[in-house]
Amino acid sequence: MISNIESGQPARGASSGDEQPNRLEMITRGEHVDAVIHPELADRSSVLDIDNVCLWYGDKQALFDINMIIPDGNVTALIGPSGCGKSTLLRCVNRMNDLIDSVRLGGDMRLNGDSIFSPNVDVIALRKRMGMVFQKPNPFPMSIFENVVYPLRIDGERDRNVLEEVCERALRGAALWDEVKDRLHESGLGLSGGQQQRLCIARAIASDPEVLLLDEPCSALDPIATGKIEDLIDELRGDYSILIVTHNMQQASRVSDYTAFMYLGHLIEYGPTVSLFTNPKLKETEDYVMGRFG
Amino acid sequence: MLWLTGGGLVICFLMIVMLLLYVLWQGLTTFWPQPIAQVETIDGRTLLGEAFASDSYDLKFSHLAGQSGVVREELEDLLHPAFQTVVQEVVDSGSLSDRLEMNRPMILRAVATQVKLAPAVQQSRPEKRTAIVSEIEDALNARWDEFVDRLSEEVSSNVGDVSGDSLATAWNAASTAAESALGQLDATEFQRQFSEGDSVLYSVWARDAWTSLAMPVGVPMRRREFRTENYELTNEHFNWVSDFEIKPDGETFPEWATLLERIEGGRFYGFPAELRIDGKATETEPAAIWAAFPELHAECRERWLEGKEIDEIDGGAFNRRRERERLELIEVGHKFGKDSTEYREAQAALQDFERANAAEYQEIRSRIEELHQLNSRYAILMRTVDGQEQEVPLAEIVRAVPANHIDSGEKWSIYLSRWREFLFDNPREANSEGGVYPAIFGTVVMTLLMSIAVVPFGVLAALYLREYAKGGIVVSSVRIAINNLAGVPSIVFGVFGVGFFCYMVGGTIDEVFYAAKTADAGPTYGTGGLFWASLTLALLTLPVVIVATEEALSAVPRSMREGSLACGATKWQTIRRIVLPRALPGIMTGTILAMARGAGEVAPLMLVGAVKLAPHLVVDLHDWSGSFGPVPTGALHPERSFMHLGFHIFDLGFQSQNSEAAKPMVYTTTLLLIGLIAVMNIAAIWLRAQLRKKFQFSQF
Repeated sequence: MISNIESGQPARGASSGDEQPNRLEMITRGEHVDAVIHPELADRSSVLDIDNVCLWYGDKQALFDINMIIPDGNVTALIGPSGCGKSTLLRCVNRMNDLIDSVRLGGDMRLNGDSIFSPNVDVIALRKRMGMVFQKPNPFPMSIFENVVYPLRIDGERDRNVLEEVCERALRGAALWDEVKDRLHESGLGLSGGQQQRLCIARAIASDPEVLLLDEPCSALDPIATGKIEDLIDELRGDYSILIVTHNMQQASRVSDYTAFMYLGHLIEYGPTVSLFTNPKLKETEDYVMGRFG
Repeated sequence: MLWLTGGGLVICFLMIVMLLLYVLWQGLTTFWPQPIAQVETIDGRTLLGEAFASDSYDLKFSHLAGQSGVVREELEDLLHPAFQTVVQEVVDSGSLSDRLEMNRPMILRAVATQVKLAPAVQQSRPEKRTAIVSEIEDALNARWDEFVDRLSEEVSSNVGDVSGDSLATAWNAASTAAESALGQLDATEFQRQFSEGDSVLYSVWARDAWTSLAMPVGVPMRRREFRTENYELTNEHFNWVSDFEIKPDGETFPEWATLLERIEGGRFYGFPAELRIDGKATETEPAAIWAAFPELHAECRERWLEGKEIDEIDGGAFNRRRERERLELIEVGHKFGKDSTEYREAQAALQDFERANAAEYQEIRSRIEELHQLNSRYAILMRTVDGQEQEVPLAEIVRAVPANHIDSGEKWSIYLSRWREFLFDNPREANSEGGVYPAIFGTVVMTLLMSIAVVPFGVLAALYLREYAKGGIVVSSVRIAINNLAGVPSIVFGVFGVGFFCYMVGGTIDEVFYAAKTADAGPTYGTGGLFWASLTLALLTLPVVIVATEEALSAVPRSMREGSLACGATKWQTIRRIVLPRALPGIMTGTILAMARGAGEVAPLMLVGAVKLAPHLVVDLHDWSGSFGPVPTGALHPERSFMHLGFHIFDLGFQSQNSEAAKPMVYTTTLLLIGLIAVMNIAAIWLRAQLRKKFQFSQF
């Protein structure tokens, strides 16, 4: 359910003599806060429906009633200060939080209509429909070829032709083909950091995922490699739906179509990137994107 | 602090290096051909042999006991100058009375003992004896100062004598006087003499005072152990000869002194007298004998080896067939009873078999006989150094070494041939000669089997503990149990192996599968053997593998596992494709440690399967009938006992008849065992390095 579609409400500026309470202080006090979602999201087709999602680590709640949709075929960024729950939310999508014993989930997510949190869901099959790229590049200690076709192999694919074709497609898609096409059978660990991350992206798109999850993919890379990854994300837009977590606002503004601002486990504001950055509806958002905190 | 820790490290390192160097030196020099010495002693013996070991000691007056004749004279000649020097020094320093005072209790005690043993006292009535002795003791004590003065005077006056013999004379005189005095007196006279401080008292006293002065006298002397062997003639293997016992120029190296290493009967040291063919002497000059020897000997050895082969291969195959028939008969007997018709039929069948194959059996035996007949034509007559003659058939000689007549090239070839024999031949002479090949083989096969057993179990256990088990009291207890297993003494594993594997499991297997064979020849799997030994040692080394594997598994970064899971892999797929290969170098480390530990353990093996001498190797390419219950194992016979290098070392060093001869073999075998373990470790380390290269642990 999407709540609180506010339209036409002006941004709260320091000059506008406000009576509305500071949302961030309310959150810190433990009060419930409604998210502000821009109207442009109302009629977009969604690849991912996030429906009242809550998450607890033991007794401590980390996500509070997150309600949003991730649009199909676009790049959506999650931004916010450290500890706001954006990575946690991302990891919920492919149930990676299951690896932590004390995690409890509430609400539901739906991938193209199929429930994600339901107890009788086949998590393995679910994960095969998504691709994830992590903060630190984690190529496997195998050859480049084997790295890319890993998702197919674990699915049982043995046909050499199919594997080679997929490998080429994925590496081209990840803008890595030209650099490695002559050394597909060398170890993946021998690549540079940026190349390793592109290899991981190739691996993620090899199985033609419905959604691509990127968890701060550039934070461990140098600026040039970062630029290349950002270009890549740009190219991938349209073919894939991408959900990217980033702590770098400039990156979010460069790369994404839609941005969601989160704080301490709550969704604060969510809208088209251009609007959010140039004309945020909430003062808190404006403070954050201007760099006044976080 | 740095010096303390660094110093500790250096000391440990040095100790290891010194031990290894020592073993290396002793082991490598064992087989070098030594020259054969002929030694003539002053008491008329002549010995022929190799100088084996040498020992320094101090010649003392106590060594005179039990010696007589020429040897005694020689000893006295050596000791008395030393005695004179000691006494001179005592007198010059003016400390004679102090020295005697120091030895006073001992002197008085010694005199009292003499008195008690004197014939006069012994012959008197028992109740009087004690009285006599105590009276005399009192007299001694009262006269001590007087005695010291008198003795000092005598010593000082004698020391000045340049001829040097007079001290010895004085000592001898005192001894003789004392002995005769003690012998001649009757009881009353004895008492009177002692009470009044007469010359008898003085003689006895002086003798013991001289002895106390003589005690510190020591002349450095070297003695050498000569290996003279010829055990069947002399009943001894070695002779110790001190340097003073050797006549001047009594040690020579006769040109044609020869060492014969024989298959049975040990070594023979002597001179070649005749080369005999068909009982007739064909050559009588040593040079000519040696010229003709190599070719004839080589032929004889070839025939002997051929005979052995026929016996083992053809004879062995025949025997095994016969055994099978017999076992079938016994089985029929068990199943149907000895009175049944089936049993009688089976008996008849066995007899038919034996008749039909009698011809084959005869043929095999006659072939072997023929070879032996041919060999028995050739013999060499050897003469020992004291003139005895012994005929030695050429076929019995393994190696003949005219040790003083060979140049260094030939020495090297003998050295290398002895090493070849050591590594590839079977042992002789209750393991003190010959080779250790079966022990090497047994050690390697057992270690391999043990590794094959321990690695899968260890890895699976570690995988479960690390990947699948939920934390909790059960898992913690299992971990504690595993760590404690590492501290259990290895002999306890041996006892467990015998009780559980051999008696329980093996006994059951025997009952079910080998009933006939067990009834006939004793337990097959119900007793120690290769298989149970490997399993026992696998248990022993299990904790090592589990701990190393757990470490390796936990070292695989979480990010890699997450990457795999995010791709949609199941937990098992992740483990199989990512975690295990990445952990493989660590697992190999655990395997290396386990192999090194297992190859060296001896205590449990003594109980579960290692033996002093195994009749066959555990892998027998001529006998493919090995089985474990219903499972055929081909040339591997897991029920056989085997020889093991570690056990061999123990056996050689402490259970040999000829332990002196076995001592160098102990070093050589130790060197070999260390070398073998080093080779196995290096191979495994190389393998691990290859694996590591695949997983370049490079970071961006």
